[in-house]
Amino acid sequence: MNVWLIGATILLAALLPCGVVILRAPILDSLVALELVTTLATVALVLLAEGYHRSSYFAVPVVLAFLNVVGALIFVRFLADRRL
Amino acid sequence: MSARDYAVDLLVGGGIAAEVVCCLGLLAMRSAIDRLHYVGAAATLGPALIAAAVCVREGLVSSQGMNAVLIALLLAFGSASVAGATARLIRLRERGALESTPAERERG
Repeated sequence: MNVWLIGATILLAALLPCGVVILRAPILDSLVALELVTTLATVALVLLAEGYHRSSYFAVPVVLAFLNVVGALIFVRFLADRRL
Repeated sequence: MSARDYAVDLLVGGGIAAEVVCCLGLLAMRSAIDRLHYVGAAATLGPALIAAAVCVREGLVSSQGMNAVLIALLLAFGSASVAGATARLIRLRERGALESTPAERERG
């Protein structure tokens, strides 16, 4: 267990407060928390890739970082039309 | 341990601490706009420190280093655009319009 894997574990545990906000807060606050979850997952995947020292594992967080933007903008687009 | 190892540990620790603080900030704040500030901080400060740690360990001109820098840039610029769109949506939901209200104009 190196510092990278310890960091990834801490970040995965940090998803819990975001989950609490997603479950209990209003819909817009949940959207904001979801954006933070994606960021945390991306950073955790970077830490895991470096912790296992596999350069090919870096492809996953690169794709997730790109999809973070696309997914969040789609949520914003559809929430703008709906009264939830 | 060499000085480079200490620098890597320091950068990783700083990045993790920044992300955890942003999580706690998200939990502590009460309005969506306040929470959005912590999302922006989490997408810029933490990934930048982690990318710096990867570059210190592997070197900038390496597959890992270039990928880490790319991810940090994607998160920083992507988060800025998403935060703008989300803030517009929050404003529209709360006030019904993007323009300033007369009371807001009076306050300056």
